[in-house]
Parts: sequence; C-alpha cells; structure tokens
Amino acid sequence: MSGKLATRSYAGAGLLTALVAAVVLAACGSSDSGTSTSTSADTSPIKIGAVSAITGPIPIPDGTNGAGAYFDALNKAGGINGRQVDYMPLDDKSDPALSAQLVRRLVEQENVVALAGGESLVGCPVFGGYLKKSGIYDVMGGAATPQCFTSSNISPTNVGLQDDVTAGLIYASETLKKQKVCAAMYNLGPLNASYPPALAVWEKSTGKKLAYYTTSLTANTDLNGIMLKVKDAGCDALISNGSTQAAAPLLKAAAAQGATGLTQIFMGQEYTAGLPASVGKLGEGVYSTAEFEPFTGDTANLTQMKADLKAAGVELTALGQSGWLAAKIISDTIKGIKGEVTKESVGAALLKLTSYDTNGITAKPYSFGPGNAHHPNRSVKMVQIKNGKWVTASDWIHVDEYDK
Amino acid sequence: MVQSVVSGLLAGGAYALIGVCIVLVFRMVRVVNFAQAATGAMGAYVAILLFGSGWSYMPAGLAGMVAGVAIGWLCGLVMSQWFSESSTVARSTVAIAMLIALLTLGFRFFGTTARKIPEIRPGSTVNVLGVNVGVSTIITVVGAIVLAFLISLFLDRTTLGIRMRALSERPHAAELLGVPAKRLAVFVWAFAGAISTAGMLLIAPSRQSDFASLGLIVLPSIAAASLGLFRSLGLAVLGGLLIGMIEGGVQNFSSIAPYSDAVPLVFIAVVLMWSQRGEVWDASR
Repeated sequence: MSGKLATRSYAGAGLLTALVAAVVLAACGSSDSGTSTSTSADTSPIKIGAVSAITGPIPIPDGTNGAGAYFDALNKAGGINGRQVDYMPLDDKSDPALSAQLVRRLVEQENVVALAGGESLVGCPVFGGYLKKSGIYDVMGGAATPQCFTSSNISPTNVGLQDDVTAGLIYASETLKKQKVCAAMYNLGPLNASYPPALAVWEKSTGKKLAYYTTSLTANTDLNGIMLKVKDAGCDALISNGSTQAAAPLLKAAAAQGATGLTQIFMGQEYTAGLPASVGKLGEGVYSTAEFEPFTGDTANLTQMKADLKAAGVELTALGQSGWLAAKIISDTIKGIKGEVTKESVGAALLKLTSYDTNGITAKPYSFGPGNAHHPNRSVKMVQIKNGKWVTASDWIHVDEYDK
Repeated sequence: MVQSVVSGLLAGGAYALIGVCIVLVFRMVRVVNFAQAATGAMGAYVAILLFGSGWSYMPAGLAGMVAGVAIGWLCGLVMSQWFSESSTVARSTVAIAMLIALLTLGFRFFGTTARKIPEIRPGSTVNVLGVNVGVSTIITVVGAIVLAFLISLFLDRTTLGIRMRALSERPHAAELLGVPAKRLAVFVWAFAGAISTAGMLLIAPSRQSDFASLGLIVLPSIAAASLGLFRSLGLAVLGGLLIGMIEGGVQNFSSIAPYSDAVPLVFIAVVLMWSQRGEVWDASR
C-alpha cells in the first residue's frame, strides 16, 4: 500500500481501534490498582509485604528468606485458591526513617493486603501507629523490641529477646542448678530495653541475682577482657546474645583465659545449622534457646518447613523458622476468607484468629485477635551441641508461667 | 584493670597494622584509604572460604594474600588512572566509595553465615601480666612494630624508597626524572593490600568476624594514624596500641563501658586539638 491518502485512512482506523480498546480495557480493569476484583475466577496475585532488617548494622535476612521459601513452595503448588502470592520484602537497613517510608510504600503504593515475616529492629515503634491508622496487620516473623509485642496491629510468631533471656537464666539456675549465673549481653541500641524486664522476671521468680552482668558488648569489644571478669566473678554459667560470628571468638576467649567449667548459653539467633561447624570442639556442651520446635530434631511437623527452606536454598535457622511460620499463618488465614481478599477482609480474619494450631511448631497456639498487645509465643526449648551437632536438651520452658 | 588494658592489645595490634598501611598509602599516594581494612577483609575471606573447602592453613592464607594484593592493585589502578590529578580530599572520597563497594560485595558473597576461621597456632597463649595472650596477638603487635621500622628504613635508605618519596612529594618533577609514577603507586596499593590481609587473618579468629565488622576496623586505624598526623609510621603503631588498650580499660567502668566504640573518635578529637594548640594559643595571646 502506498500513497498519503491510504496512510491517513489506516492511521485513522488505527486511532479509532486504539480508542475503543482503551475504553474497553478501562471498563474491565479494576478501579484501584492492586486490589482484586470480585470475579469468581480471580487470578491476580495476592500482594503481601514485609519490612525487615535485611542488611544494615545487624543484618537478619533469615526471616524474610524463610517466609519467601514458604511462599515459593506455595506458589509452585498453585498458590492460595489459584492465586499466586506476590511477596515483597523490603530492606529498612535498621534505619527508622527508611522503615517508615517503606511501610507507607507497601500500604499506599503497592496496596499489600497484609505484612508477614518481617524482622525489623527499628520498625515497631516507628510504624505501629501507622499500621493502626491504615487498618493493616502484621504477622511479624522476628520481633525484638518490646513495642512489637504491645501493638494493636502486630502479632509476632517468635518469642523475642526478653523472654529468650529469661528462659536462658531460668534454665541455668533452676534446671542446671548453676550457683553463679552471669550475663554478657550485647549493646543493641533499641533492643537493650528488653534486658531489665528479662532480668526482673528471673530475679523475682527465683530470688537470685547475677554474679556478673554487662550489656556493653559490641563487635569491637575485647572478649578476652570480658572473660577475665567472668572468671574473676567465679561464674559457672554465662548467658550471651551475640551474632553467629561472635560465638567462636567468645568460646575461644573463654578457653584462652582458663574459664573452664563455664557453661555457655546462647540466644535464639545463634541456633543455626552451621554454628557447630564454625565453633568446632570448643562448642561441645554449649546450649542455646530455641523459639520453635528445634529444626535439628526429626519431628514430623517440621518436614514441610525443612523441605521448603531447602528448596529455596535458605540455611536452616531459628529466624528462618519464624519467617516460614508467619508466611504459613497469613496464607492459611487468607485461604479461609470468603469473598474479596483485601486489607480489610484480611484484617477482619486476623482479628477473629484467636487460636491457630501450629501443629507443635510452637508450644501453644498462635493468635492474633483484638487487643493492644500480642505475644502468643512465650515458650522455648533448650538445644545443646553434642558431638558437633545440636540436640534437643529440654522440654518447653513456658516463660509466661514465671512472669506472674 | 591492668589485665583489661593488656588484653586490649589484640585489637590494638590490628589498628596498628592497618594504621601503618594507612600512613604508607597516605604518604606515598596522597589518599586516606578508607577501604584499607575492607581490602584485607576480602583477602582474608578468600582464605576463609578456601580453608572451609578443605585447604590447609598456609596455602589458604597465601591465596588470601594474593587476593588482597589483587584488590589493592585494582584499587590502585583505578586511583592512578582516573584520579591522579585530583586533590587528596577527592581521592579519599573515591576511597570511601571503594569501601562501600567492598562492603556491599562482601555482604553479597559472604552473607551472615558463621564460618570456621583458620587460626595460626590455635590455643597457644603466653601469659602477660595475668592475661593469656594469644600467639596471633603477639605476632600482630610485633609485626606492626617491625613493619613500621622496616618501611621507614626502606624509605630512607634504599634507592627505590627515595624514588617513592620523591614521587609523593614532587610528583611532576619525579615523573620528569623518569620515576615510573603509576607503577610505583599501584605497587604501594598492592603491598598495603597484602599487609592488611595478613593483619585480618591474624585477628579474625579472636573477634567477631563478619565482613562488615572487619571492614570497619579502618575507623580506629585511621584514628591511630592520626596520632602522627598521617606522617609517622611509628606514631601510627603507638596510636593503634593506645586505642586498643584504652578501649580495653574503658570496659572496667560500667558507666562508660557502653561507649567504648567512641574511643577512636575521642582520640582523634584530642590529637587534633593538641596539634592545633599552637595556633589557638597564639590567636588568643
């Protein structure tokens, strides 16, 4: 075809077709981007977000990795009622301003229907109020600051630093019958608020006091100096909460300064599959708290979790367990919604969720429900390194029973 | 108290060793190398990964040093190719960018998993004033002192050393006289890369060893180098040891113990104020 006349008429026809197509598409498209339409065969993805300290001064990518692993497996198996889950974990780098900004982005631009699996160290005090105002709910994976457990719109799956510390202290003095329990805790900024109440619960319920106590450890602290003080105080048990890379140097310093006969108890974030190999022989006999059914055991209720994490190439860690469980809880909740899946309907479903059976992954059922505080998981099991491997060393320690 | 101070020598030795590298690179190439510790950490992590996959200590360590040299060499190439005419401030800013790049790469490649860190003579200690000091600490401290001494000797007494000083003090004149500027500059970077890798390998087993923590050792090391105003190798060693010992001593006072990480900052402030005292006192007279 040639000639200006022919081109013009083709152009005109093209323009008209485009106009008609645009009108038709606009009519069929949803009025809000992201929210689902109420057609019975809706296949648009369900958007779930998370704000987490994936990188930054204290990086904890495990929670969102664990949640991601659950969603990957779920999507492979068909998703939720035929709809894929679009999981958006955002990294707040432990920067409060960024954290607030990212939550806003998830809620207002991405239109997520819920938050799940996040492990933000600074987020709870910063966006707790915003979540309430926007009517969106967060099934947090790993919560550490006290505000995460006292927010109307947040219910974490994990036990949290405060109860972890209390559990470790209780196990040391009441089960292991240690006479001089000591604690060398890390200076973790906003998380330090957890230490005094943790100590108070132990002191009040056992009537005992620590023989040596410090909360000033950092990445640069000289661990030999700390161990000298531990030895001088005559400690026979030491609770500490370093990162997994702090375990080996701490044990080395203890051995070097002759603090023999010292039982060391680590906190939940150090319960990882790879830790025993990194500490070698020095790790023999070391304990850790475990906030969920220990993944190094073989209980059947963990088979799917382990398979999902393995399929996604995520290391087996306690923090990964918390993210996976959060993802499972939100998915099961959404599955049960009849009608549109929106932030409102998900919120309503969570407010009705007063008991979620975790099939033994946690000691007691998870819950959301109404109220201004949510702390459903307050029990830990102890694990211990024996012959280079973690083994389960105790039954559930219910911290809430000591906190009366 | 004495014991806490003595046990601060491990960290102090690290600051001294990296501090020597900082002074060397500053004097020779006119840049405050913020990426110095991260370069060493990269090399050390290569060694750690190889050790983790079955290599024995010496081959893994040597391979790590080669990696440290390579990264230093690369940084030096970038600096001398594109920024040879820039001011010290501009070049130091580029070094900060290199640090950020290395930290990001380090996090991407090495993640947050705990690894078994190879150690020279694990378990061997020497009792110094009631503290069991590890062999690595002794090597680090002695190594820093010896290195500072040898480098000073090299710069004062050898032809190559004098050429390098000429290069740093009068770059254009030196080039006109046939001193190979770029090659010598890159050599300095590569050498510093090797030393910092060795330093990291010595101290990593006894402290928190995630990549970011190791890379940020550069900050107390810069504070150490500031004692001699970035010109004296000996004072950098002294500065490093002092900072390490002060950090150790601070742990004894529970009111200031949480602020032990601020010791390098206070150190720099005191050094700078003291070095400027002449001008301040003159002005007030």
